[in-house]
Amino acid sequence: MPIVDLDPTVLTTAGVTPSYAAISAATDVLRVRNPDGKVLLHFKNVNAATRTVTVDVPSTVAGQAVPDFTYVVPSQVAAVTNGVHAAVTDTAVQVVVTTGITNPTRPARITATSGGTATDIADIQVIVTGTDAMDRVITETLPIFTENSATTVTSTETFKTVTSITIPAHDGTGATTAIGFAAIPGETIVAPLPAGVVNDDAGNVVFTVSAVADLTVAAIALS
Amino acid sequence: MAIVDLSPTVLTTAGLAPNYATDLSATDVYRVRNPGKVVLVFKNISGTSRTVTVDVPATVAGQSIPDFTYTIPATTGDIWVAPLPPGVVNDDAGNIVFAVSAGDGLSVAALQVA
Repeated sequence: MPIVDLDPTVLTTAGVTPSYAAISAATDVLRVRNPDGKVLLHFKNVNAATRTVTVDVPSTVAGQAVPDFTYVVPSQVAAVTNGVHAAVTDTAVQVVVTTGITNPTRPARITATSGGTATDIADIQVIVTGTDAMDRVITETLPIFTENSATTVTSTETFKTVTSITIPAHDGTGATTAIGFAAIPGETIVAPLPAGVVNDDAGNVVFTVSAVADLTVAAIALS
Repeated sequence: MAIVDLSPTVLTTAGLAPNYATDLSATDVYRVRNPGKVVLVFKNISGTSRTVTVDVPATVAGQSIPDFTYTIPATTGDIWVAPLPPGVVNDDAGNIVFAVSAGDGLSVAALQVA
């Protein structure tokens, strides 16, 4: 059971990019210096299965052990080409879709995929309106489709909800346009981790994970 | 120029996923309540770097302090900023105020440590 020390990235007013580390084995025990209880743990999971993180809690209350803290890092939701709206068959005129819309399970980048008769696909741009994770109304014109070729384009913005989809006319009624979402990684931030509760005798947070594939962690310290 | 208030996500020992505000605009000004434990996380997936400017209203001996600027790298930019000392960066109402050079592909999460 190897012990692996992670050096926290200390945040500064100048701004920094945290270091994300993969974990070698589920049998590893990870330690992070946490002298002041100012460490954040940021987990990212791009696997189709959830990951469980267990933070050791050595504290006792009135002689009774405090249960370890456990966190489930959500799984990555796979991309679904028609996850927001089923393919819409071209009608030779622009359509604005406001019904039959399914929002992504978590905020996600939106995709549009052209299909059907290739020679009917036009170099159009789908417009998506909805809200972001902070419930602000946002609108984005997606990148242009490739003419006469099935194409998937992806938004740069992340949508929590989709309220309308504007699809201009293609070059023929054999073309289709499906609206979906890109893969959504699982993400969990844990803080605060009170030093008096979670630290070992040497001032470390100690934790383990259920499985390591596709899981990364950044230890981030407030200065 | 609209003023857009962003509510910080208060971190908890129970863990949570941060909320990112996306589709930022260079014509807007963003405000975040800052009791002193706010972390700003900027992510940029556009092909061009973005510049974030945090207003610094504080002065030293009557001299103004330059605003804080951050370059968020293109494509995979991921910059965390903290601490943001209230006595330096907060406006009279206790807010951090910042603007961005361009918004496409840039998102921000305001996190508050409990």
